[in-house]
Amino acid sequence: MKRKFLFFKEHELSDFEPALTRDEIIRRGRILIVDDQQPLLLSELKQQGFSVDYDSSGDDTSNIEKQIYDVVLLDFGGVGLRFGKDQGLSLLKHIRRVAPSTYVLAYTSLALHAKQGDFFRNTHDILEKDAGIADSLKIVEDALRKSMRVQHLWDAIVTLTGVSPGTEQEKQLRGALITALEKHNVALFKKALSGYLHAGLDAALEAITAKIFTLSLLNGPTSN
Amino acid sequence: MDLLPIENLSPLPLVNLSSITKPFDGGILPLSNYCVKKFGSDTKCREHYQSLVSKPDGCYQCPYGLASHKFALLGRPFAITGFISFPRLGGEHEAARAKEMPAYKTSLQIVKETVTFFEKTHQIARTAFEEQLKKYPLAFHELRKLNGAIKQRAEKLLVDFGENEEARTIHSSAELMSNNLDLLEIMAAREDLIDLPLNSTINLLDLAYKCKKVYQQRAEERNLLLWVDGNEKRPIIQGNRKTFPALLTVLVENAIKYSREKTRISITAVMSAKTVRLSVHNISDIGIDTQKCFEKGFRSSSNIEGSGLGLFIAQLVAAQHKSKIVCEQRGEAKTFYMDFAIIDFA
Repeated sequence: MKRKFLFFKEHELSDFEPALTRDEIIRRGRILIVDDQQPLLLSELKQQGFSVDYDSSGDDTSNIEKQIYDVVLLDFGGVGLRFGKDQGLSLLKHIRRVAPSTYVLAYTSLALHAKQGDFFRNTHDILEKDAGIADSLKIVEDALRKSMRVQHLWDAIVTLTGVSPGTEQEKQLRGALITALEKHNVALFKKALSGYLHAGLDAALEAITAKIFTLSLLNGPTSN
Repeated sequence: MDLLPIENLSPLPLVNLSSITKPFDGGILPLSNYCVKKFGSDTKCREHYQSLVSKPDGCYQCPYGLASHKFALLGRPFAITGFISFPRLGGEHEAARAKEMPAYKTSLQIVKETVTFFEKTHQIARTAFEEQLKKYPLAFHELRKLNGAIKQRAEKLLVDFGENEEARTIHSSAELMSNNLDLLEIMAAREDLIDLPLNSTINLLDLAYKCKKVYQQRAEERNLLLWVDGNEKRPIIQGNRKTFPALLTVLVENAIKYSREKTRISITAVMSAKTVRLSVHNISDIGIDTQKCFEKGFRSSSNIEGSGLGLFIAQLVAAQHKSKIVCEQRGEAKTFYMDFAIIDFA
């Protein structure tokens, strides 16, 4: 017992970050390109083995809402018209609201004015349309890797539940997640989350929670 | 935006001291026949103008008693010339010229006001130019799309068919075009783009090697060696992917333009405890004002092509990234460096 306590360590979320190889990232990741003109990058990504879908309008966001996509490459002009006059920016706001775990790349070469600068400010990163293929693949791969970080997925849960970051409630929920991850027990965390929400988990929270536990198994903690 | 053709705006004869030729006629007073004759017949006029280049701004007398008022506009030297100054400068031949050419008696105050007029005109033109640039986002967009298609196809050729000089040249040119479009975009929408968040991660050595690849050919055209060096661990910083590359682009382009031939340009990323210092070092015979070089429109040499905006923009980007470019000069050795906080390693 004493020996056990000597090696006891309090875990952080960072202890559960998955160590993913490039092949695993490509195998697990799902990408969506939303662009009114089909880019050459689409075929290049497919050739490299990435799982990538293409949507020329962004009108149907049902799969995005199901948290299916890890990364979305989002154009600005000519898409998202169903969501508002600001085109890609309107669609972006919808995605950030319903699928905060989805990593969004601003995929445009439009030089934007200040009022459209929100498009860059609210995406996770930028992929210029005139970037080379190798550079583009690197940026997409990097985005996939970041989208699969436990910390990123936890931030998405915080957004969806509405709990304020840094508060006691957030710390308690995070603690509950860590405990559940230590025990590889997803039901334990779901119970804690339901308790906080006073309701069951919606589809988005279910999907993100499942993803955290699946990914964390790929590199669990080394202590205990 | 380059210098307006002030030769066409000057009311009095004007000489461009960067490229000395017979002075231009003024809009009100043409170059006097006396000056035309003298400039063509001996070398004293030319020697007089050449001597003005290294002198501070002010009024000086030529060997024949006429006045030349030297001034600088956007870092380039000019002189309003061929007039008889009031108040008189004194000196040999001035009285004789005043008697022969009464129409060329000009108040020095008016000459100085003419210079002020040039400066104001330039400011107005520059502001108008920058306003126009803001109206070109669609043009940038179309250019980028086309450039992207060219770049990606050249890249495919290189991957599918192996290294090929033509494809490599096309690819490098497209990369250069991207860099120039980035700079133009920042110039056109400075406040908007510099305000963008630092939401990307930038691998400094990767960027440096890419820069070397893109500018290799240009460097070779001037017999320059482009060299990249750094620690084994590759430092990563927080940055904006849209604006940060412009910083290195400006420094390397300037180094290529100003370096002495057959020398080396070094791009280094050297780490200390928690920071990394990105430096561009070169050898140049052209002196640089290490403070003024970051001022908008300032140029170290009028003989080398440029707008005088590059370092100004680069400093803005550095500030966006919570850093500052420092310029050091030790004789012919010039170094531009800036420090960034390391967030990770590749």
